[in-house]
Amino acid sequence: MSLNNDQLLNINNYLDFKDLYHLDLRMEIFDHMVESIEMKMSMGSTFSEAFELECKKWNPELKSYSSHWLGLVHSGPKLVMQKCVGTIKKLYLKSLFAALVVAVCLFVAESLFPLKANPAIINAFVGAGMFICVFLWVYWYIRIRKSPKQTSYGYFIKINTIGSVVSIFIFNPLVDTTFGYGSPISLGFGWIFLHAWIFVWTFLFAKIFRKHGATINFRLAP
Amino acid sequence: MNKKLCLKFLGIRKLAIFESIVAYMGNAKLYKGSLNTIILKLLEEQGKMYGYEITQKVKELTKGELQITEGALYPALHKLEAEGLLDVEVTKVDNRLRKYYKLTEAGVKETKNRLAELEDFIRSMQHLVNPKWSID
Repeated sequence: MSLNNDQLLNINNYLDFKDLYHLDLRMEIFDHMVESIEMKMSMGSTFSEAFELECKKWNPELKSYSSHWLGLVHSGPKLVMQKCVGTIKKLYLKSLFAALVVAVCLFVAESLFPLKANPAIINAFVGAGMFICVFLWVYWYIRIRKSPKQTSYGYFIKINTIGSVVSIFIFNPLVDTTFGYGSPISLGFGWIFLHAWIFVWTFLFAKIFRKHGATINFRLAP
Repeated sequence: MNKKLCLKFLGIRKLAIFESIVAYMGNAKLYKGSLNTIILKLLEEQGKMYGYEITQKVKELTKGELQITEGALYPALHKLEAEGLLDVEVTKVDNRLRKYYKLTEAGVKETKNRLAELEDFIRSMQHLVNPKWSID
């Protein structure tokens, strides 16, 4: 038994009401609800009864939810936010580990073969790299905002943009020379680690932006 | 929860062993810990499946005694996808989009590993809680 357009519209309205506009999750939940309602109707329920039961089942998963991992100012359907929480935990772990490895390697290499370059040159390279990171974040944000299709990946990037851009900007040695190599308060290993972490963090988000792109430009399988 | 769940999905051949483990761990914990393995095993057998189909297949195989909730199923599917164990395929069915999940190459290997690990675990538990039973 297939649902008619009005009945499908009811389900869509429910998902709109729950702010579930993320394409990757919405398509599967919509399909799940339709299948489940059709099954109940084929067993004798009316659409209203089946729809009400289905809403009751989904309400806990789609209720408004926020997490300190993402910042308590951000809230959204629980299913979306929990996916974002899982992603950010993994990103922290991956980025901190990768930054640590990079920092240790650079620190050891610098200790064994002291770099005789002028600290200003190093700062210029690092600073330019960080400006590129800022540019990328702003570019992703604008692309996601302008796109008519939203995904959980895009949402995840959006809620992390301001914090990331501000941090990258603050710690840019070209913006504030106290954060540069060779400055009086330079912490050596600490600054290498911090800058490595910023680059790795941006790199990992580039992969998430690619997933966002792949989701909105999906190709239908035959 | 259906005590034959693991017999059906995970290759445990003695119900008593599962009963002993359930008694030791509690149903909820055992089920939660096995959900990813159940999904992987089903996808290995079926090729590709969508969310609703997975819940119905589990219900059917366990004669309705085990029902995977949506709140547990989708986070598990997304986690497995993020780990690179599942791939996604979108098709159009009755004017709506349907998202199918299927195992990646890494997923196929991981399924074998997880089933082997689970069997080892069950074997160890069996020795601990009820030495007279054997899955061999």
